[in-house]
Amino acid sequence: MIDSLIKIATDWQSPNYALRRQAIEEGAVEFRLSQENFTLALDWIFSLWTEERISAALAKNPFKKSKYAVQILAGNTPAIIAQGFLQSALLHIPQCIKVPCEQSIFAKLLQQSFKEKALPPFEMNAWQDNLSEFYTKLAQADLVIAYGQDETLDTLKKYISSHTTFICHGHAESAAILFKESANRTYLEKLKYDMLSYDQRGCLSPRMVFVEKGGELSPEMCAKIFAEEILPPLAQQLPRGGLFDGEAALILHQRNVYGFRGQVYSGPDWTVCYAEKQPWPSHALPRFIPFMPFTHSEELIEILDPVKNHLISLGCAGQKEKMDLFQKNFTARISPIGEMQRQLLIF
Amino acid sequence: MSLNQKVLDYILNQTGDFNQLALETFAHQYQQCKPYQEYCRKLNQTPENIDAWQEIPPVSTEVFREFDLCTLPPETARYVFQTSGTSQEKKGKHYYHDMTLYDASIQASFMQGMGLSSKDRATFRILTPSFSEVPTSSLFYMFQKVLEWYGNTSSQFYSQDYAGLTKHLLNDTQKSHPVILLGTAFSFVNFFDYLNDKNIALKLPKESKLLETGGLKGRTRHVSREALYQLFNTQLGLESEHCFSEYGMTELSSQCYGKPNSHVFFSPPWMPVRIIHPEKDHEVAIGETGLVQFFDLANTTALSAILTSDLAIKHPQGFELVGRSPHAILRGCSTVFE
Repeated sequence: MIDSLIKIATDWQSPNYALRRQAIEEGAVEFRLSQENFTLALDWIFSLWTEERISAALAKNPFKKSKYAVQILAGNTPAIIAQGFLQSALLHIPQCIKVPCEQSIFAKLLQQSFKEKALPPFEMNAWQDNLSEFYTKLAQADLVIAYGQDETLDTLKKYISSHTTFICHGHAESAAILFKESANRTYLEKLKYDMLSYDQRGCLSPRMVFVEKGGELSPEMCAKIFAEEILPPLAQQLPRGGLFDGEAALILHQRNVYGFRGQVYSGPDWTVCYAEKQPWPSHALPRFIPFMPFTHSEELIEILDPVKNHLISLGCAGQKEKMDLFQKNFTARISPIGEMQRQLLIF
Repeated sequence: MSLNQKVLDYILNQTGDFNQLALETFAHQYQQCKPYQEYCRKLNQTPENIDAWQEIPPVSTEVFREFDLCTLPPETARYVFQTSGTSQEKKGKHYYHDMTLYDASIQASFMQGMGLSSKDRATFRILTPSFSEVPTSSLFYMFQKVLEWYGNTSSQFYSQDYAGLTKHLLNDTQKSHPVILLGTAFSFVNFFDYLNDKNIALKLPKESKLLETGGLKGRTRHVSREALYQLFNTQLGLESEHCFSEYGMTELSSQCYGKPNSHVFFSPPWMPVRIIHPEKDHEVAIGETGLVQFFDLANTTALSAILTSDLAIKHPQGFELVGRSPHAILRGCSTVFE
């Protein structure tokens, strides 16, 4: 099975693989990503499917005794779909997967590649018009793994037996932190990928960048250099995808608000802001990233405290002791800057 | 002549050059409101390099939730109007040191907007609390002034005293005295719930009129315009040609009115509207949808160029509201009555 999964990953990273080409051509739009950005996403997603990682995940599988599983996948990024499929193979039990949309092109193409490699089949559907059938499956499952909004997960609980293992991944947010020893161009160059990949639509995308004062570059200069020199070439290479209703208006209003709070730098499809003081952003806006300074780790821990229950990932660059301190205070994963999206979140 | 006097003349008589007056107002606000001055400098849009009112930097209504934007010290304000919202939400504030322009704006537009003559006093039945009960509401201030200036002695506020309101309306009907009802959309809906419970349907006297305002979408309820106007007919016996709409907000000192049987709002000459494409930040063409932006001359002591979160279709002489921008914070006086 591991060999088959690795072959699938190799295929999906190959520019000539027909299913990949079709997915890029037809499927990028379902995630509101440009084809260029979706291509990068596919490369990143499948580069994580290495023998080492898959073997480690398989060994870790805590659900070996489960007999029937249901997975409910969110549709905001292709990574969740792909990881759900990988998880299904590793579970290696009868199961069904609920995808967000009947017409999910990427999910269908990926399922096809699983069939090509003779991996155990699983039922896949959106059950948009037949929820009662889906709820029956939920009631039968002894393992349910769900991604989605908190309200959706609460609704699901009603249909799940109390004996069922229910793993839910609800609303989650992430942030990037540059400690003063890393407040320099090298890390800003890495940070640009965290911001641009997936257009910040994933829960692993940073909503804010915190920069410690006292480094080679001041927090304000970090924002300025990032916006004026580092971001634009890659943003041009990886254009933003489409917007959802209301996002353009919200971006316009938020640019206005940040114009009063501090500084706004913007391009045709991106915004970088800087403000000494600002609340945690209430919306994840595509390609909209505020920078905020902090003076020491304890202060930042306090700033992040109100959102700590939702923090899933902290991208950090700096001394190990500082990162350890954040690991101690938050349940969020600590990942290197530039690698925030490149995490295999299974089991 | 002072800026306020020039604006007052413009509101009352439409004398003077609007663009010139707008630029003068901008220069005043730029000088006196430091956060705005700093903002305009960052944009490099200052009085020295702007020569058309359309170029004056607009300010999002969201900014009013975080900053005191006024040209006089806020602590010396006579009235402070606040946006509606829950106690947890930050509220936008509009500081008034002098109500002359606000009052003039009401006087120059309300009765005309309602198709009424300001010569005769009328009976106003107002379905909201009075301004003295909620002294932070710009809408209740307006209703208070309307009652003072144009109401007869039997006019009054009812808040949620639906029994008292029903009794008075039945009496008005019996005596064939036309009345004018003023309220927010949800205050009417609540009143209709009461009438339904009591199994009462009114048929108000001929020439009675109604003005609804405050938005149709709330936190827990939503009512379509069509359904609301149907209720005006079935519960009050009012045909749609007697039902008027008003559109205003805390950040503005002037109001827009919609004519009966029309979805289109008209802004007064001293408050031109622009419908802005949110992504391209320019004015949309007629028939297209964008964000509503005003330049309200009567806002001399605050800021005049205001960007709202309301979406509207641009019409040749006005705009048709199509709702709030998705994700925008819920607001509007109607939410008070849910």
